[in-house]
Amino acid sequence: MTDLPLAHGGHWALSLLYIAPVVLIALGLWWSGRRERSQDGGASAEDEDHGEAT
Amino acid sequence: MRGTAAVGTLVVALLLPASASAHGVAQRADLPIPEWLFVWGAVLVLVASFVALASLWPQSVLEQVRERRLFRVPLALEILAGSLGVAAFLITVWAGFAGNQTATANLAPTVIYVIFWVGVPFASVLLGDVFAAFNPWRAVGRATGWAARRVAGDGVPQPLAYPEWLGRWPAAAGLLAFAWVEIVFANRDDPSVLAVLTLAYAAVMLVGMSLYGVDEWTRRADGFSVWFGLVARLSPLHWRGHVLCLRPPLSGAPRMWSGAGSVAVVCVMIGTTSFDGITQGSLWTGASGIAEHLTDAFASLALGREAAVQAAYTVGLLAMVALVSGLYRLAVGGMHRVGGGASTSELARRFAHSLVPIAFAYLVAHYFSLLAFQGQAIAYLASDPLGECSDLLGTASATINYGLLSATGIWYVQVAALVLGHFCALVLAHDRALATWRDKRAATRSQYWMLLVMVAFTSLGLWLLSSAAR
Repeated sequence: MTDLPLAHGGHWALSLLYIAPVVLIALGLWWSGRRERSQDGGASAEDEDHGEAT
Repeated sequence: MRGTAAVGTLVVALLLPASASAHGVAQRADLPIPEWLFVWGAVLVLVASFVALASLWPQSVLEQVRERRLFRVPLALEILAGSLGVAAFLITVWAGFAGNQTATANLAPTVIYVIFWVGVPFASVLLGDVFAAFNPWRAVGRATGWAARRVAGDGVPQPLAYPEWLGRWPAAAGLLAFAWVEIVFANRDDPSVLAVLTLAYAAVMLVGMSLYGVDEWTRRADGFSVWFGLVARLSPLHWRGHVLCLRPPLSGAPRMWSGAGSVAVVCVMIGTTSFDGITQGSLWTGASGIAEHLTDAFASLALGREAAVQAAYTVGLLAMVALVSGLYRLAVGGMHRVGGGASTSELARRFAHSLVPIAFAYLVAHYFSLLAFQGQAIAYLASDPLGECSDLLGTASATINYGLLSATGIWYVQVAALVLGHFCALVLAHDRALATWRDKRAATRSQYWMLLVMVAFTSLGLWLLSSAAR
């Protein structure tokens, strides 16, 4: 008898609760990075590359 | 394109099924809140830690720390420790060959999988690199070298120069091979097979030491020495020759040698431990799980059933190590976008030490219960190493106390280990970023992706553990 993927729907739905914080952090960081880039928009191209690796 | 692949890696990692610790004791914890809420709590702790580090930790402090000398130990103690290591090695091999071939009755499997593999890292994080003193093949190599110099004097040939490009790749390969035996190999619990493998590993180590020198080979190519040594870098105790020094916890990690293969060593440790957990989950071992599909595929290639199962597990093991490496590459790729001139490979090596606490946290979360329970078996196995009803030490009647820890207690230890391990990783990465980028804001921005990957590792780890008894 073949297991239908939907039969594990509850299991997968529960798993989404584990992935959700990662997605939220990813969105937050993307938004934060975008805002920082827009704030730096007026600065010169050199300022885009903050600092340099030592 | 690279970014898409990296995000794909992240998504695949998080869509992996929940599972439990293969060698831990899986019981249902009686928790006051759902397990998934612990993930949210852990993520909140990490984000708050990240913000706190960005605002309260303005300059690198771990790169240059002073150690305080505590005391010097006599050379005789090192000789004694080496002799004890050799004796333990010989007794384990002897028990494996001569003893009862039932795994639970024989000393060898418990010594190798529990005391050595799990116990030594715990001892290392508390007491420093104690394995260096007890390492049996190092002790034999040093004793042989000493004897050769006494006999031949200057006639003893100098060791070859260890190839720089080889780095720690042999160590990574050795650790992967051990994990393969532990998780995949069908005869992994057979005491006589373990004895043969133990002797074979020791032989390879002795040959390597004779070619490239005892210390150089041990530092680079002996997987166990490398791994235990990395964990010891988290310890506040540092054995500098025969002198014991005190240092701030974690401060040894930034001084880790990060040449070729160093990233691979920690990725192998995280990946193999994760896979050990995954193999207990329903998506892997269930009626129509991945293992069954892969096994059928290999069986259709005219492999026997046992060989097909091992091939399927080997694919899973390698895929998990690749996945962990991919996640780390994702973080490094994000750092690289901040600029600064360093290549991704260089950044990967520079930040490799930040993975060490994660690897140790995974080990604690995964094997803590194994050490707590099966570790007690050493009391009766030491008294009856062959499993033939002897009672050499008078402790053969000792039993394992399973009431020592509740399932709920184990769960809290596991969660605490994962959160603390990832917090330590954030601290190490932040401190290294401050030393790498002159601008504090750039350093913080470079760690955005690292934070994301830490959060992903935490979620993955708790996800693996949460379904331990599901």
